[in-house]
Parts: sequence; structure tokens; C-alpha cells
Amino acid sequence: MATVELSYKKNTSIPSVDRKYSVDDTSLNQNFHDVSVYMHKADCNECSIALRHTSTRDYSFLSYSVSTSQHSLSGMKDYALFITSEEKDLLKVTAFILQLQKIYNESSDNALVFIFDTIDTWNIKEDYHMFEKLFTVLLNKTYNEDVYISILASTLSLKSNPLRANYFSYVKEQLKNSYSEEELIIVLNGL
Amino acid sequence: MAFHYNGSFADSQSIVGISVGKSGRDALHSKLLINFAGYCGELHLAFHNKTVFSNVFEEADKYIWDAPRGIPLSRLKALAAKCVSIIKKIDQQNIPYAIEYKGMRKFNGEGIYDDYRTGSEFGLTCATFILAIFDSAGLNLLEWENWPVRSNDSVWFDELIRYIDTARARRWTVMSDEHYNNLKSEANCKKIRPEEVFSAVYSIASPQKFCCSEMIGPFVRSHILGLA
Repeated sequence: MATVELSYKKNTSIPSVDRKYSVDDTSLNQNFHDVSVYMHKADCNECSIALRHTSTRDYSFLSYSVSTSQHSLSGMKDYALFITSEEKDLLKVTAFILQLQKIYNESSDNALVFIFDTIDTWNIKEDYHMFEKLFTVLLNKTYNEDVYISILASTLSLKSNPLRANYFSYVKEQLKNSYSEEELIIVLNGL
Repeated sequence: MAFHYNGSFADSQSIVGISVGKSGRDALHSKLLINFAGYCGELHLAFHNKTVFSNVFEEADKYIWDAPRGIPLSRLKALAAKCVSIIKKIDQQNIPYAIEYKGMRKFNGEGIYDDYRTGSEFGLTCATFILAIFDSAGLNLLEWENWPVRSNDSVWFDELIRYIDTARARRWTVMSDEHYNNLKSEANCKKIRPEEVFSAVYSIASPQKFCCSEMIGPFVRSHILGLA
């Protein structure tokens, strides 16, 4: 993802922010525990960035419109007022995809670790809808085979989910370019 | 035959390996070796509630290791990534020591051996710890469901209980009465031995059957016990 220049003003929950940052600016890490970029939807020009403050671990969200370059900052409580839980799931899933791509560009091995670190922490019962969105979002996204395999391996506990089955079929089609039918059986065995 | 440790991963291209070696007079211990995403070392269940990752290969002269055969690289990478995820949360691990493996639990993203399927098992051994990690990445190393109960395991089991009695009395380990009793109830369960988990690396088509482990396992054991 291209670097997006952002500026935002002081907020009680985020000190020292009266300056410009880019998403990839490492100085962000000095003030924030982690930074997540959320794209709303494929056809939406807005993205949101979740900032987790290092000391308080509170979240604040910066919404940013790519088309108008306008932005707004709100705390988690305010943010929760205008998005539904389903939308939050989508944000979380999309953030996962974006972060995955970013990490993958730096190190494919670290991207695989990120998959397990992240997906396995999602609660299977409470976050069931999120998994469904994950598989929906992942369909038609092209990665290399290591990423496909790790995503399937990290979602083994959802084998009965029909959307996972769709994703499995999609991956199988993609991997046919790399493996013979016999090899594919070995690669996908157990997934 | 397997590589000997030389103080580092002998084959720099391997990302996952299994090692087995002497941990007592006749006892064997198994470990998982990792060389992935900047993590290089050995991951193992040392004992009750004691999961260890060390980037130093301990007592290398007493161990042999080898890399799994027949598992595609993509699957090995997923396995290695899962291991790293477990290693990163190793301080939060709390894996009890128990014998019978039922495939009831998985390692979640916090590296925790956690309830997963209906029912439960009491814990893991050093050998089933490796099985559980492979299982968590969708890889069945052995046909553990078909493992038989063997009468000569009772000798090992009696020694284990004697050791635990001593360890509890001398406070080498903290084990609740409830877990101790659960462990004692496993006297006649099937046991998967460290050398059998190791022998699975030679299986071209996983999971390995008992008949293969039964053939390779004793050879591995005698080889290790013969190491200086």
C-alpha cells in the first residue's frame, strides 16, 4: 500500500500528535503501541487508522478520506457510535489483510508468523462473523502459496465453515498452477 | 541416519527438525528444532508446566536430529510460523505433563495449549508436545489413534511416578493433587515414545503407521543410548 501522508491535531488521548506522520513513519512507534490501517470497503475511499497509545493502550481512530483528503479523529467510544459490530469486524479483517501485505513485502517468513499471531487470537465463537468476512475478503486476492497454506492452517478449527470451504476450493485452484494433482493432495492434506 | 548436533542447525536449509536424545540413564527426550523468521533453537516440553525455547542446543552430544521428509515446504513453513508464534508467548504457557494423547487441544495464538474439541486430555509429554504442534498446523505426524497399549511401558510409568513423588516432596515441581491423581490414572494408557515421534521424520507419507515406528524406534533408541 502506498504511503499516505496524514496530519492530525492534539487530542486528549493522543499526546504529541501536532505534526505530520506517514503511515510508514517509524516515529509513530515511539508514541503508539501499534498502528493499524483500515480500509472501509473495496468501493469506499475512506480508510481508518487505529492508534494504540503506548502508555495507556487506549485506542483512537483517525478516519481519512482518500478522495477529499479530509480526516477526523475520534476516540473508541465515539467511533463505536457510528459503526456496527459487523462493520468493526470488516475493519479488523481488512486491517489484517493490509498489515499482512505490508509485512509480506518486508519478509515473507514474518508474514506467516503474523498470520498465526493474529488469526489464532480471534475467538472462534465470538468472532465467527469475522472469520466469514476474512474468507470473503480473501477470495480473489492473490498471494503466494505459503500465505495460502498458512491461512488455511491457522483456521483449522473452522473446517466446517462453508465459507472456509469456498476459500479452500479457491486456494486449490490457485495452487494447481504450482503443483501436479498428486502433489496437491499432499500439500492440502489435513487442511 | 540422523545428523548429530554440531552446536547449530547442521543443515542451514532446514527450517524444522525433530531431535531425540538421552535425558537419563535409559530415558529419552524429544525436542522440536526451529530455524525460521530469525528464531533458531530448540522448543520442548521439559516437564510439568515447563515449556522451553533455547537458542543454545543443550547437551548436543547426547542428541541426534533430522528434518521431516515428504512434507511440502509450504506446510513446513506454516508449521515453523506456528512454532514461532508459540515461542513468542512462551512465558504464558502452562502445559501440564500427562501421558495419553487424544488430540483434544490445540495451541492457540497465545501459544497456549488450549481446550479445542469436546472432551479433554490431562496434558502432554515431550513427545506428544511435538505431535500437538504438528496437529495445530494441520499435520498428522503419526497415526496416534492406532497406537497400542504396551505392557513394558509400565516399567517406565512406575519410574516416572517415583520421580514425581520425589520431585513433589523436594519441591522441584509444583503439581496439584488433582493433576497427580489424573496422571496416576494413566498407568495403562497408550504411550507414544520420543524415538517414535523422531522416527516419523523418515515417513515419506505422513502420518506414520505404528508398524513403521515399531521398526525404526528401537533402532533409534539403541543408537542414542550408545552415544558417548
